[in-house]
Amino acid sequence: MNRRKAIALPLGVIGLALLLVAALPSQTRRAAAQEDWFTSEPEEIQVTSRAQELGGLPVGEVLLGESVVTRIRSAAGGKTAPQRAETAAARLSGVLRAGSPAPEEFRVAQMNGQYVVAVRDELIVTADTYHAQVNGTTPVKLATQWRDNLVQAYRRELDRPIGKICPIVSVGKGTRLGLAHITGPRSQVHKAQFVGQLETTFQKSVRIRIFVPIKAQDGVDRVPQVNVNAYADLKM
Amino acid sequence: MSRRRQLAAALVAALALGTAGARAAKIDLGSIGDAVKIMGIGFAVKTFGGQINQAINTVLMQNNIERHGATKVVPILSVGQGAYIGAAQVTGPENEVAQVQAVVQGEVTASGGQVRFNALVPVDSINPFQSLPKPKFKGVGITAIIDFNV
Repeated sequence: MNRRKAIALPLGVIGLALLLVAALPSQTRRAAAQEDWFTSEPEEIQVTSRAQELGGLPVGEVLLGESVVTRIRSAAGGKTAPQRAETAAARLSGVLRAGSPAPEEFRVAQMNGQYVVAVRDELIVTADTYHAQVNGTTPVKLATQWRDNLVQAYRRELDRPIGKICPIVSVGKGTRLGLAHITGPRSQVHKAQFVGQLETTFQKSVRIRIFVPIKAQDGVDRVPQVNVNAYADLKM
Repeated sequence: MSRRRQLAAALVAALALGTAGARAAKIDLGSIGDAVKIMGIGFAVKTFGGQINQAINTVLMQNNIERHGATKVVPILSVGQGAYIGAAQVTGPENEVAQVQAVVQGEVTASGGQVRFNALVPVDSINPFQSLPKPKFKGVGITAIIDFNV
């Protein structure tokens, strides 16, 4: 137990150090107005809604990341437009949290005689006749347009580079050796659970430590497009 | 020039050439340790980088680990020391990896040296201060750290 505590404390320090240093270059980025290298993007895709006014009328917008994907202009079912947007955002957020769907799983479907945007079998938003008229189109075309907006924003979010901290484990032995900060597209980074370390030598005088972002501790199933850009190790 | 001076100059030249030849011969024999000792890490990485890169990729292949993108071995420049302190294998899109010249390392120690934190930034110059704080290779990461024990 004491041994565990003795290891846990320095690992905590490593984590803090990594987080601190990860924050430093983003300050530099703000100063230089550049995209940061140590990104502080959250691992989960953010789905939000907001109330806006359009031509003096309240509307509700659903946002995926920073993109508006749907604009609800009318009240229905006892809910105001912003409340309907809030419901749609909650549905979408729930679907994304339940398991990363493929972009192809965002579809236009018919439910209760109305055209809707759905992910797998989950209703996200209904493209009713009123909204179709306001947009000068048909319900099916509006649902298709909303679906396309959603897919486009979703793909953008999947490709957005993010970073996270993973434990470094010795491949084959499972011994924890430290922590690593990994970066890559969001769609891949969330799959990486560990950074495996392999060791080899070259001409006796060269020691090589190879870092491999992996999905599970007991295998070397590499996560593509994900790389290490910082690491912290513990003197054992 | 007197005959004696000509002879002395010829002897010095022969000695210099002979020493350089001996050094080159020793490096040609393939010892990276000697290359590091005599010519420094920068030279050793330039000379043996390809072989080290190949060795790393072979180890990955032997462990059935897929490789994605291009790889290259470049020297690590320490921000604190302002010198080469090792080498790193970088991985990423071919066009970006081709531009990487070095990896700049910032190092922080904590808990009385028990914990060592290293941040690694691939840069397109061997002068770290030319590239920082504007690292531009977002798709390039570090796959391996190479330490020279000489």
